Amino acid sequence: MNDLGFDFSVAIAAVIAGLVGSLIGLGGGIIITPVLVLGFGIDIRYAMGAALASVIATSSGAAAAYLRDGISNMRIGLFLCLATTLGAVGGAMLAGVLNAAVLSLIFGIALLATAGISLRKSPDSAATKLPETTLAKRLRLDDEYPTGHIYHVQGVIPGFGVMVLAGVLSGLLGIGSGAFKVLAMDQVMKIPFKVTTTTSNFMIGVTAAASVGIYLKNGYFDPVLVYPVALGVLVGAFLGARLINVVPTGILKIVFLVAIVLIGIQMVLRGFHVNF
Amino acid sequence: MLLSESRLRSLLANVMIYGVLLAAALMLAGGVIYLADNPHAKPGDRTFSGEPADLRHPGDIIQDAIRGQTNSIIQLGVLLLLFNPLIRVGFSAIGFAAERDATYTVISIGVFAILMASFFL
Repeated sequence: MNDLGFDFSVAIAAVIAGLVGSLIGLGGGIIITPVLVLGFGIDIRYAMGAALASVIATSSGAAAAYLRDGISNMRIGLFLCLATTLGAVGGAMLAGVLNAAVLSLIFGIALLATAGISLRKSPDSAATKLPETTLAKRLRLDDEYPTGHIYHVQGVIPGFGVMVLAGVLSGLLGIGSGAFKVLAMDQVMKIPFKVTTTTSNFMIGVTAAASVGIYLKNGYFDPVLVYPVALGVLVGAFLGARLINVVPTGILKIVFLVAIVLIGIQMVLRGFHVNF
Repeated sequence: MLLSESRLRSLLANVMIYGVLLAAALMLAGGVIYLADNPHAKPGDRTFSGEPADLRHPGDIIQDAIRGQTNSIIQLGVLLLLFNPLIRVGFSAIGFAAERDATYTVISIGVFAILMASFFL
């Protein structure tokens, strides 16, 4: 296949990944990387570089929209970005010393965990009345929910710890690790769901940016691969945002999560050098 | 006179959107020129060897992009994407400083410093 055909098929795959990702609430990054590795036979490190660029592009678009709406809690977002950017720098450096098989294995496990997190029903923590905590008060993390209720942020230190891990995964695998960020804010810190998702969107691009310098130095950005992937995912995510109220996302989510589990298993097997 | 918060938010949102569009335009332009120049070249992505040195350093990328090297133009688009989160964090620092919020000015500068430092590791 020549470059024209190759780039065109990669771009189409990226559009679909971006579209599916935004419809089921996952980033395009965690979907496009296994597609590039398993479907196109691309080395996982180049795939991670291309995915990382697409993560930053889509999250900047999403963050701009939320910034206009003013829903995200800037204090929580910035405070937790300290954790995720530090983690991401560590993760990106770790990626430089691991081989492709180990990266595939870890990627597969992260993919399975993401599918598990997405299947879980998310109860709105705002409904429960929780006491004020000292650290959240000192950091002024508590805020008002659009309905006028004040929410009290819990578990600041464990939440910060989970965010470091989310950052490590982002740098290690070239993903936005949005599912893990939402898990930390939702389950550990008991932040209302709507605030959680918008704040996570704000954080994803900042977290991913922390890996760019290291990926660039290690040669993970292959321009010929990056442009069809980043542009494709961006277009797909844009289409997904337009279609989200039109298509039945409930059924789609289950279908695609099953596909993601199968892909995750294949990535794990690839880590053990089992090829199909 | 200080900008009102809603004006600042909307200005920031515009900067971010045009930043992404400019980055996308650079990548598209570089990609189209590349395909026009090398319609039959084999993609060398299957085995990892790392990219050549001139595609790894921001200074070299900018110089080569100005000279019109297609790979460097695409790479410049990637670098431009980065600009976006940096602006987001930088503006937050300015916003918190204007509100005389010392804790969050320091936190924002801390995040900004980590992002900048990651380029020199």
